[in-house]
Amino acid sequence: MGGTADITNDAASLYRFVESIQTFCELQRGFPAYLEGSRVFLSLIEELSRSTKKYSADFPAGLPTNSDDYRVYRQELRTLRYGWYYVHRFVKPIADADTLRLPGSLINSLVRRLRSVESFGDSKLAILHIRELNYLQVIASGVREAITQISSFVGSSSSFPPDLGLIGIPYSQAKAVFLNSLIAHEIGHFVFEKRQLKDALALKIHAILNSTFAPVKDLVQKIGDSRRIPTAIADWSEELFCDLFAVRFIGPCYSYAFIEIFDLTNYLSRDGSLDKDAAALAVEFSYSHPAYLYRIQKQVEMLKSIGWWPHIRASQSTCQKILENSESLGTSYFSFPFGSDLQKYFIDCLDQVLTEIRTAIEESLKGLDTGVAEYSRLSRTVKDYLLEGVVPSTIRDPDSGKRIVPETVTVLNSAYQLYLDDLPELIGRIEGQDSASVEHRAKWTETLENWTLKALDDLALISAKTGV
Amino acid sequence: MNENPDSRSRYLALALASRKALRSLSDYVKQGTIDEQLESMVGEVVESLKATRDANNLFGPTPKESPFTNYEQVVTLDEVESDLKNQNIDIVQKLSKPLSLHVDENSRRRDAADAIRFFYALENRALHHYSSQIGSREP
Repeated sequence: MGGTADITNDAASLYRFVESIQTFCELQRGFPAYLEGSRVFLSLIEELSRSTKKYSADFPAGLPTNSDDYRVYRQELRTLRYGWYYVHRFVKPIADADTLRLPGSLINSLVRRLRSVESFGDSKLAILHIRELNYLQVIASGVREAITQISSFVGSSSSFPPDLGLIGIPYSQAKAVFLNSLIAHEIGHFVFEKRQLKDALALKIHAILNSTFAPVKDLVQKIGDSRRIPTAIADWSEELFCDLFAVRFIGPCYSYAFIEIFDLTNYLSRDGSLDKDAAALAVEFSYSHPAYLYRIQKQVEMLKSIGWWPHIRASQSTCQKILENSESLGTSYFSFPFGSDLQKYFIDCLDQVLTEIRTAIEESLKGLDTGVAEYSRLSRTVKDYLLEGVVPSTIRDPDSGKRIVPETVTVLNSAYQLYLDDLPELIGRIEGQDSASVEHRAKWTETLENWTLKALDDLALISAKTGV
Repeated sequence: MNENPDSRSRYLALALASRKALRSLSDYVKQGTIDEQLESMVGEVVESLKATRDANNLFGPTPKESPFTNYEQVVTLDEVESDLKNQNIDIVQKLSKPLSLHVDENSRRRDAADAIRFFYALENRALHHYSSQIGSREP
């Protein structure tokens, strides 16, 4: 019958494609060690490959004779193939990210912190290596949805675990600590998705949008396609949620890493003020992301509201200058991709949405200590240990003199602050090293990061031993 | 169009959801069963299309987890709706009418024909938009 051979050919093509992915996953079972989440993901793909192969083999037998049904039936193969194309993009990046190519102790520390939050007790992360030097655009919900649907079409018994998050990190940053503070933003996406906050915020965004823009209905209708606005606001909201979540989750080290990855310190003039010409693009919202400096401004508000600000404001670092400059930027500086007439209304709208976002963050992290109190008490001591080249896994309590174990947030932020403010002091203590040398700075930054990773490693061991 | 990095996954989600609907519609035609997921999905599509048409709603639907509410998805729905309108099919009206529990397959086939046509076209168009972006960005 005409068409059967074509279908058989298409099914065989899908079969071969999926088999190549299955073989690839099987090869990863041997030598490389993976984080639990990555292992779970690769096993899931193996099982899904097997089920898809069986489905492909059976597909030609179900071919309808009616021509309308034929094209509908046939298109299913195309959908499945595209679904697999999408999933395919994630398999190798996850297989590449074995434990030798990851800041494992940092990730484990962050997962441990997340697991201490109610309803995130079983959370696991699969890590993937990405080519771009960017942490901020890997959205796991797409792959979760694709796998779930493929699984149901091909009759697989495996499903995407609800507690599994996917986090992308640049392949070159396996040993970095400071920049990898950005992982907290990705954990924010996982939390946003797991708590179904898109649905929760949708009703509020709808009401806010309609009430805010009601007085300028005519102007809105003049925009080329106003249907783009709700998606833009929803996307901005998710990004802002993740930024503020990250600040609440791990403190100012997230903001420092954010400033570093986007090179925002480049926008500073010689006198430390913001060069507004240089920063002109950093105040523009895109359709998918809020303006960089708007994001920083909101992070500063969060740092203030949860009590971090007094503990970092004395810093003389360029990062701190960016934080301060962003804070003082007037709302009129920010621009939106829908023309200037509605600027004020977008700001009003976002102000209202941010109130909802802050509430959602507090509800998501209910019971999780910010870490500010411990940081304020122990950061000096942790920095002193690091300045002496001692890994601060256990330290002397400055008040009681007893040996104590600092929390992840204290270690991370103290080390980052030392890197920003006191690296020359550390280098100055080492014979033959010069803080004015780029090479020496790079070397001692790496050493500082290694000490920090070692401390986090030790904290994990102590935590496992004490069950805390 | 200035594409959002999430656009690809949104087109794919739309194609996968359409396929899910087509499978349920096929079960309806062959076995006479109507599953709740199909009803809810059809409800989401109708709601989204109505929100786009509603003169009192300045912006159309607000994005939710539903694969019919993000901008790219709304525009694709709109494209398919317009195509069908050119063929004198008012898909909102057709989808708003619940499927009937006919005893014979031919009646069920007639009842589901427009919905099948709609979801087939939606899946096709979503796949087209998805594939036109392959290679345009990395994860």
